[in-house]
Amino acid sequence: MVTLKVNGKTHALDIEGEMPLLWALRDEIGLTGTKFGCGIAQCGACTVHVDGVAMRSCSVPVASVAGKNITTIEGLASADGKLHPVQAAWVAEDVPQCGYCQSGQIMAAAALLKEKPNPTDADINGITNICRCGTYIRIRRAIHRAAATKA
Amino acid sequence: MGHIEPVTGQDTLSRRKFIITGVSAAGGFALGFAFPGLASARPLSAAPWSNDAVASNEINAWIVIDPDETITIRIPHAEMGQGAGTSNPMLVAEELECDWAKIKGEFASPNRNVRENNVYKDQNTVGSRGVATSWQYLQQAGASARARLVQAAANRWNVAASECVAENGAVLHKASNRRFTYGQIAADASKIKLDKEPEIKSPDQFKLIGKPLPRLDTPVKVNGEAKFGIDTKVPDTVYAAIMSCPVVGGTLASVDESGLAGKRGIIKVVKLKDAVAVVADNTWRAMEGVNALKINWNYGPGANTDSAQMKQFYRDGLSEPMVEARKDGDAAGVLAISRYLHHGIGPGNRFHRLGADASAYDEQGHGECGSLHHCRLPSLVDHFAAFASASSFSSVSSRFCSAFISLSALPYLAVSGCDAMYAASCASRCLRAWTMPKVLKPVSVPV
Repeated sequence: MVTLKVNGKTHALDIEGEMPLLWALRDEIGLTGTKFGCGIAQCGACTVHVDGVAMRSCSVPVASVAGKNITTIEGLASADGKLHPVQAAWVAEDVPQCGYCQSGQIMAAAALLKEKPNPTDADINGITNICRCGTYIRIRRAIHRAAATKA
Repeated sequence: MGHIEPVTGQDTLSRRKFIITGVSAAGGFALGFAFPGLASARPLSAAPWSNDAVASNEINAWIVIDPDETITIRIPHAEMGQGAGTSNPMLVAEELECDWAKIKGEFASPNRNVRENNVYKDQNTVGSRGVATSWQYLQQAGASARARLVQAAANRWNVAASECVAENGAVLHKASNRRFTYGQIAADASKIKLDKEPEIKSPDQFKLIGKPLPRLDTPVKVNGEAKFGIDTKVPDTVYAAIMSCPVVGGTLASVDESGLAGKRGIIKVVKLKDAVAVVADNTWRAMEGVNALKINWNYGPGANTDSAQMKQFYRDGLSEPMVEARKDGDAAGVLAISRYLHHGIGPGNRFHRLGADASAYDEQGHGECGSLHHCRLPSLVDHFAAFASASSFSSVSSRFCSAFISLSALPYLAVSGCDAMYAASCASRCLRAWTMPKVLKPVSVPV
């Protein structure tokens, strides 16, 4: 039995401790906003926050995050529905194309802004999430926009 | 749509202003976009496609106008990032002479397309054809609806249609200062038969097309609501992960299943001629299962094929006589250094629902299933339906969930209520369909 705290809600799951967090979220809890891309912690489509830190959920065993605060894309907006500044900036810049990587991109950007409220372009380059549509230019703009909104 | 103001040089994309207008009852986000002089249409919902039932206020298969003036426009193509979810409704709305803010896009039902003799034409979404092959009939659908709305209003007033004009979601008879909104006469218009289809607009007459509008699919792509093919979940879903022979033309020699001992959730190992699959109750368990197999392959006639040979094959092809269509730049130089790799980030995947209740499930409109990428290649459904029929299943509901094709990712599929052998077989066919397009028999694409 593994207990996961996801978006403020506690889930007691009868699953293997080594099951990657991604599959517990998607197949056991039913939160499909977090995506499966490469399965080897490279592409970043599965990025979630664990105690506020961006992590590749495809490669995080659930046993290692039991009891910690996990936030997925579904839980990023505030409880009253107000979009997180990164989400609002994403809408303003019309960032997504196919959208498959965007949950992970947004989670990575939100974690970056938490650590560095006014990131430089070099800081933004530190995000290694892949976007095969190539929306990087708008991602960069949106992160700068979100930083300006927060300030 | 007289209120649409021209977009000036300063009102560029980066200067769009957006406002959040509220929270929907469902807990999702209702976003309002402020574009200079033009309110946005409603964001696309997470629903996979429209209800197949024909409403009395359906002007034609493409357009439904509600009494509250909401105009639903059916989108024939899958939204895979190229913007069909926005551009297709724009093509219809351009002719309809309506308020863009009243537009609600929804994906056209492939089931209905099959039942109604390709009423939505070729719904396959491939080869950058989303607008290129459909603009004409989408404009025509809008123009035809507009003409019928005008005729319906003219009939009510007992005047000639030529005396009436359509403007901003209403029909006007200026001579007598009378007006019907589209919502008021939609039911009448649905019964009108035109003697002759109206002409569609030429580009110099466009009011909407060419405007940089916010995409309607963005809001559901920033909060996790958008449902991709791989997100399809229905009760009793099982998952199959497949390992195909790494060499096309090779076959499966033997499989040692001892590695599966003690693993949870494994339902079945399915051996096929050139692949082996593990069916489990969770995606990860299926993948772990297939990775735990020790597989021996007979690589077959292609065993010695390598990248150098393939490259040479392509180079040889370029040496054959060709027609010079354009000559600019340094094509040969670029080809010599190009390293082009094209595949999406998401894994290839399919979802099948089989059995006696599958058609009933279709009728429900796939409420729980993939949306923006609901059915990329609907014409292939026929192919799989035929296969299911041969496998004694009464019906099949099938969607190509692979909006994002990654040949490097492990393909998997989710199967609900069907035989594991069928699941694995489909997975194998799916994989080969992507890796070796010529292996699949050509599927007739309705025109």
